[in-house]
Amino acid sequence: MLLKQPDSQLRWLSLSIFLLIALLSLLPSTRLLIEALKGVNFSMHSPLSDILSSSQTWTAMGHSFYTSGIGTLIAVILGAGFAFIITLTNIPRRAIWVFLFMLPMMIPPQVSALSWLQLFGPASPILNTFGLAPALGSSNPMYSAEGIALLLGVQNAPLVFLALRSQLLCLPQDLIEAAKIARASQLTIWLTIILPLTRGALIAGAALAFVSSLGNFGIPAMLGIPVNYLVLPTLIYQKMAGFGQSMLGEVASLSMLISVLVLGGMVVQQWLQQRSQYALAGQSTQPISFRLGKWRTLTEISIGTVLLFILVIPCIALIVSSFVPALGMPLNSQTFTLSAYIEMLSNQGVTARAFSNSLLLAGGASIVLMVICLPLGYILLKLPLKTRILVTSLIEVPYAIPGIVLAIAFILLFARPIPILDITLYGSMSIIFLAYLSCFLSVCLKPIFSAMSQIDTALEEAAQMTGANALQRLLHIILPLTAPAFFAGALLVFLIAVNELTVSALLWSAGNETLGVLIFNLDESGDTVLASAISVLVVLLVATLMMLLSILAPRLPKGVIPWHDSV
Amino acid sequence: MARLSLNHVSKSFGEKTVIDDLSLDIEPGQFVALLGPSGCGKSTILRMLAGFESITLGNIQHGEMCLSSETTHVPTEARNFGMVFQSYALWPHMTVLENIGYPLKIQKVSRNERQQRIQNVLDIVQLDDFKDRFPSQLSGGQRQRVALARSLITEPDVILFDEPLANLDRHLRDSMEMTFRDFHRRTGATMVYVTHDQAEAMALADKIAVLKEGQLMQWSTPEDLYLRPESEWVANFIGQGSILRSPSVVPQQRLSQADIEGLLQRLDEHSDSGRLLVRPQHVDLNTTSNGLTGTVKESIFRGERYDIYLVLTNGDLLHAYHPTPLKIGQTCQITLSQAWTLTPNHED
Repeated sequence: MLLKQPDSQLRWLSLSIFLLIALLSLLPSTRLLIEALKGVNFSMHSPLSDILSSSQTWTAMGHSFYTSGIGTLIAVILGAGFAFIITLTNIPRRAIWVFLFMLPMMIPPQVSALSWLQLFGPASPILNTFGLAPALGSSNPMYSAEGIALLLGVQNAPLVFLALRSQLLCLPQDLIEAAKIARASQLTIWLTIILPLTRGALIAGAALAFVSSLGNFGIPAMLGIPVNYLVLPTLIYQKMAGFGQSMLGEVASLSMLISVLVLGGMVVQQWLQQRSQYALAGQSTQPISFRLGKWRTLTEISIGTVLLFILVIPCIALIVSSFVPALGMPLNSQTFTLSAYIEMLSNQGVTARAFSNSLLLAGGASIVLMVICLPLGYILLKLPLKTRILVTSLIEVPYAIPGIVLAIAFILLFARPIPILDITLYGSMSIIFLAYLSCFLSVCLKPIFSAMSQIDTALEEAAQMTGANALQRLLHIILPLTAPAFFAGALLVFLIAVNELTVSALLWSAGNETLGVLIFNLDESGDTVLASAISVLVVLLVATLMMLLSILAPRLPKGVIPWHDSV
Repeated sequence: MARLSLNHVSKSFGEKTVIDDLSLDIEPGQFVALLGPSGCGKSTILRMLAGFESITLGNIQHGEMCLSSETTHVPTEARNFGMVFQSYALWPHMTVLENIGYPLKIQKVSRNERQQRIQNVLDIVQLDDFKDRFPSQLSGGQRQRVALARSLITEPDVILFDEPLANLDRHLRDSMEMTFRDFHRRTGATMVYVTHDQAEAMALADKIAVLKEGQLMQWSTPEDLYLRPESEWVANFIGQGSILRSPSVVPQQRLSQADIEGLLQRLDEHSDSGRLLVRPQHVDLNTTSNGLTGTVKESIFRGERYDIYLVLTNGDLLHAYHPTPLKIGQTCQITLSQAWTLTPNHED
């Protein structure tokens, strides 16, 4: 018996939910696995063996490891530095610092790549405005392995920050006080107490940043493809975009390769995270807080400076680029123009279409996922622990694997018409929509499930005593009590989906382009002014949605909104 | 109204048996307490009655209807029982009025009748002034009364109570006990009340089932439980008193002073398998008889009297009352006016 309560309504609900999970989560990855392993036999020629014997694969893998490695190093330096300063000291305005530091993680990679491209290079409006631009004809320094690594580092630093910060918040003040009473110096306390206790979290955060860098598509696509510097995700993209479906076998094998790397990294990271938090569980005294004293202003200035460089200046470059008539011109009172914005908002052509497509896809996905998560979360809660962990891991897979891999899986599934129904989804918006549902199910489920598991079971049992059936209990008791989590889940999905590039980069077709694809295409075709204008809007949208979620945060379980500072 | 009976009910979670072959007949309108230390299975029995747990063996009957057996399980929703939870389980997003009215809404009772019935129960639990408040704006006792009103509103045949007073302070408990008694008298519903507090069970129930590790130890009225406990374990669990060793003796008899003295004189290492329960009010320390002697070990002030603990010459501990304090180490002459013979625990 799967469920504790045999109840016909519940049974139907759970049956359909499991069918849905099988379709959304299990089917794509299984299809990919089949394609990748197809033709693997003892002969030398199968897609997998071709891929493994191709020098192109190993070059791209080398590039992936190089950029992700350096990127992780940068992420660790930035993330750990911020985590230590913001968590362990009495720095003022903590909530604002956390919010600003988390912002780069939520800004879509193609937008941050574009803003950094605008910042450097001969055509940089900022540098031109100050007369500092490098000579025409010299290359933009961002188009390089190091450029990619730098942006990967900035984008993933918040992951290290979060992992470390949650561990630091568990360190009780009395550990430090005990060391002080033993007459340890500040330095000794750092080396012998704080560092050893946070090492696990630091490594886990670094592993997460590395895995996330490996799967990133937007940054190496914008910065690497123009100079033919390919990493694994962009190699897959180029093969697919250049040669189409004839390459499916090879592409599937490449996808498997990168999925194995990423999922393996995830498992290691989870293991490290659990191990590092185990030791300190259950202690809840006052967290550590060093007094900064006279260093307070200096500390604020220095973290402000770092944020200025990684967030503010690139954003200004983006804004400036959106106000010039053409790329390469300086911004002054004569050149200032709103033409890009007027073009964007003139409600015609591809820009307006991309906006409405993305809003439709993101809005639709968040609403559908919210509706799915209501019974899904409820049924998960009733499952025995082991089954529950298995099901949640399955749901996690499409989100954990790189978006480009998920896109390949969906192409494999829907390239041919669906049997029996005879509907072709490939080349329509529905295929992107389905991929979003699969990808973001876990994003939506997490806050909802954690809110549901915090409800006292007696509240539902009390309704059951009065004769309320499963559906009535769900609608009258569970839903009203977890409503804020539903909004949070839907908003999170919307926030990520509306800017999404990686999945749609391979699944879009004429008339079905998304915002992410539009920015990417405009940049590729040289129309960076319009691309910048759209990106400015995207950044504003992201910041607004993040602030909306921050407002919801006090009514949500702890940790659901990572950029909300609850301490 | 119908009789509620559990027939040879067993419940196992995996390998572990938590209820072992339990049979109880609960008459209509009876107030029954399930009493035992934590882990005795009393809450599991309540949850089986409510339908939250299935049963492994046996069956539960309500009148002619079989609620649970190995093969059938009437879901909770279809049982029309009421329940008061330990945590009260008031829905925080509904007002007092909405909480109490919810069961009627589910049962599609018309608006007019709904208002009428809500007003009736609000009067019973005296919450009329609070009907528009949310649970978070109420005190512990008020929340308990809302939970009571909600369980009552559908006029169920059976109301289940899961340690409803465990979260209240001593003072509030006494007044809630009064409320429960009054509530039972006014509704006449069958009530099954789970508690680990024997004083609470004795004060409220018509009949008490004493449970230990999933087994029924005794099923009788509070008076019987106190005066005529069937086993050493029950005697230890219920009320104050001391258990003394004696030579082997027929259990379940009341002994007089002469009987006790005769018996205890024959006590030695080889014949001490009998057990006597002596309540402290039957111990006289102001005597000159040459029967038993004991040394005062502890003398504790309790307001209206002193609790005295004595060590007898054979090493047994005896609990007595005394109006004045006694010196520790002092020797006393003791008379036991009556005692009750018990079945010894198995492990002895």
